[in-house]
Amino acid sequence: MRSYFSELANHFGAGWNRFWFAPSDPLTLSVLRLLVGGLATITIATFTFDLDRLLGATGLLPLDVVKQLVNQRDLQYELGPVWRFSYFDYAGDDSALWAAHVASLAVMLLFTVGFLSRVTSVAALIVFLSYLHRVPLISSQSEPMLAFLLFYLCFGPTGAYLSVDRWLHRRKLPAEELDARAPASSAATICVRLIQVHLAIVFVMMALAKFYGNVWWNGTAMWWLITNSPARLVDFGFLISHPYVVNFWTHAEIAYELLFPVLVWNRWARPLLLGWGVVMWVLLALVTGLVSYGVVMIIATIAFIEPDQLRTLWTTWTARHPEAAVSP
Amino acid sequence: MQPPASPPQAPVARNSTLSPAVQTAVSFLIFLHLFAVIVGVTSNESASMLETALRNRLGVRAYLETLMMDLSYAFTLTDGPSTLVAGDSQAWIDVALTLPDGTKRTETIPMSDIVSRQRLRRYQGLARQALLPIGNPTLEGLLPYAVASRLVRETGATGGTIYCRWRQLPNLPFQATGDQVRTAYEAKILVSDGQVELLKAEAASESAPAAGK
Repeated sequence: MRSYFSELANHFGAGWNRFWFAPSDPLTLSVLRLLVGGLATITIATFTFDLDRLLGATGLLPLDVVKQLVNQRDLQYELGPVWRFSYFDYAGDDSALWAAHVASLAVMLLFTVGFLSRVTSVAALIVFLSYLHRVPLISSQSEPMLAFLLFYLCFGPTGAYLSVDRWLHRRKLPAEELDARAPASSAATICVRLIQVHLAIVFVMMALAKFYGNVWWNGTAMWWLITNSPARLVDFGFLISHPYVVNFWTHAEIAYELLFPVLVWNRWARPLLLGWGVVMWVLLALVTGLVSYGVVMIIATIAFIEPDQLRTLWTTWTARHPEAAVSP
Repeated sequence: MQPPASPPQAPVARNSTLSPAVQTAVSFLIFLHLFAVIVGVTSNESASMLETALRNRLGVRAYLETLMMDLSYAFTLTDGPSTLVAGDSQAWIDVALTLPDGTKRTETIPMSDIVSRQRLRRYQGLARQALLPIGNPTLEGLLPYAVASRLVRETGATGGTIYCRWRQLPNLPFQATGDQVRTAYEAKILVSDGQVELLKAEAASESAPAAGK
């Protein structure tokens, strides 16, 4: 019995260390920085048109109203209020609001292009959370996803590739080292693993939550989305005469969310799940109009693609589009 | 920009492999973080006493809320027809304003000519949030008041009426008609010396067949 527990501890410890700490190429992390940063920048940039209306002191969502509603929600669950930091809480007039917004956009852009990535990744997280904490009432599904991705990207070498940091670094290298890969690192592994595990938790919760609803059991959920999506991109109302298709679509959504966190760890099942996911999220975006949600979910699943697989994809793509293969 | 071509092996920098002591410390932090995340996501709905206690008393909640990870990620997207609390109800706010020259104008949130989907979603969220506290006399007027005040300031209106509306779906699936527009909150907008007041109409439960919304 003692030897069993001893072996169990040894095997678990070795597996744990391999899973979290085996050094890996930071290419996946760099791709995630570029895509997550880009989407977060767009998300923040869209506030530009409604800055005063949504974030201003005399806007549609004044700070005291937001605090009352959020704190009431906490009290409803018998929780005391929590301090949520947002520098927009201190932007008292229009000029301060605009200055904060422009500076925020600059930080997000610098992070996206990978300039001083170690610093700008943390700054980008603070910027993004400041918007969310100022108007949490109007955030949707995509913002919390972006928030956790930005958080994990703070801990790794996100500027190792596809970045200004990389370009500046390469300018100092001799010609024979220009194509050398960035050093593999444990930090890259930890970041990617945290994203993978968190994403698996999200999928489990999304699937479990759907079991509360009768419509996800009886196969009509997609119909209700089709008929009640004010922002839809495509009207799938013609499926009114094809209930079996709607049922199949609903069941496929649930099946995907249930299978993903289990099978994505298997290298043979992974490509199928990632491909299935792209189809699912694109269709869902078309039905609901939740484009940024679909995009962020597809981006997040890139964390499961190995750096060498990304290189192969890139090589294949640039072979077909040689004009894109420009060195930084 | 392009990632580098493939030399034989990625070099492992001298400091890229963590020492056992650092691995132990990082493992502990990872464990704490994932523990907090799991407690956070599972204690949002129907939490046990243990989950609630863990979430509230160990600093877990402050940590997760600061990072915006205090969610259940229960994105059901739809609960089916006739739900006000779910995220799938189509909600909007109509504000019928009387302008200084006596003309009438109706502003709708979300605006019909909005281009960006992210912006549209935010205004839809605002309209939905206005519906959620209906029935709570302390809170139900907060957002309508903020909306009315803002629009009065933008247009210089001298009065009007604000309606918080939503669309109730038919009870059975695969039906093309039968949905109803419901008004969950209605209030007169009174403007006096630049100050806005809302006078709530008592019976705000009218319904009408949906048209074009």
